[in-house]
Amino acid sequence: MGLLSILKKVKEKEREVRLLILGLDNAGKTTILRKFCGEPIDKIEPTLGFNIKTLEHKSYKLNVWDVGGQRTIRAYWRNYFESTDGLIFVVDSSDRARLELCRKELMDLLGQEKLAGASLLIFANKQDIAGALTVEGIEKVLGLKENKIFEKRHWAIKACSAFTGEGLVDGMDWMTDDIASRIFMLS
Amino acid sequence: MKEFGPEDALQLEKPTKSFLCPLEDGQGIDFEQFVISNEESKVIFKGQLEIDLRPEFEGDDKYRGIKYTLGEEVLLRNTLIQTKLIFSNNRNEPLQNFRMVEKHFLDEVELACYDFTYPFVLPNSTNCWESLYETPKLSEDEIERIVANPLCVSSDTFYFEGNKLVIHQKVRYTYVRNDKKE
Repeated sequence: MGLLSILKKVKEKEREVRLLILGLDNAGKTTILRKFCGEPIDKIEPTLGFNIKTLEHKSYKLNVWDVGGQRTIRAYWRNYFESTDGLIFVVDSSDRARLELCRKELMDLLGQEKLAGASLLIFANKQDIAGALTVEGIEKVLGLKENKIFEKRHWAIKACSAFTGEGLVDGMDWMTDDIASRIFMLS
Repeated sequence: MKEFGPEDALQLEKPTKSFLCPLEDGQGIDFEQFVISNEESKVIFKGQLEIDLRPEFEGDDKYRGIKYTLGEEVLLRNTLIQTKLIFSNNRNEPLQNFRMVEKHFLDEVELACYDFTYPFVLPNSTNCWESLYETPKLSEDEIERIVANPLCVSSDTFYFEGNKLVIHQKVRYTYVRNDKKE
């Protein structure tokens, strides 16, 4: 009775989607999430665990899991793969020294069985910083075009700045549309 | 005696008389902050909790009861609210299948039930959970009764690690009408 029945109705009506945001520490995962929700981004500290956030976008209910990216935490990422509809991988485009590490982490994620069906959105973040690598540059370093691993995967790469907010809505639109076309086509 | 598990919590029909697990069982799991916001992301409640000294609680349990004072207009009229809970796992071990079951009651009638599982909580971590809820839709009579009788709305919150109850919180709520003269 009461709220439980309302919530059930909401669930059926509002079509839920689960997103997982990963990437190296300081890539801007939490800032992207906060900025996308229109929240202040001036006091964001390194995530030493997870941030779970439920939000509504394009009439979908998004359950977003943002998990910390520090090396010690990366070892625990696999505990969050289950039931993920979409993976958002965030790259700090200005941190050229760690792009190779980014590539390795991404390849490792794409080899995971539990993430096999997930749509992949790569955010080439921090485009507002002078000297940041362009989307084309990131695409090349990550080997997105050549690698067979991407042939069967629904994926996109988008330039963005979590600081200015540019590109975030575009990316999230792509992600929700892509998941919706796979999952909710018949509804 | 069979231990009190998540299914028992889901089927609970009225508030419990006492706490169903020792305080020590939740050691290392700390609740840092609880915030409620409205649809426009305006904060309407931020962890102003008071100890709820109830005669029926004995010993250390006296200090485990909590009281919240909230605005009637926001919480009881079927609006969407956002809750934000920050908690830490200060243990050196992860928490597996950490599950919250929370039941709200008006006297001894169920108003709402929330059920959420964190499959994995990192050791020595601080975590933030933000969620959207629709508040229960109540009749005008019920709202009048709630405002006139502080503390008749209560909740039992149970946290389970797997099937083992590790934390039990009991909260009573006072709903204040904003136009009420103080």
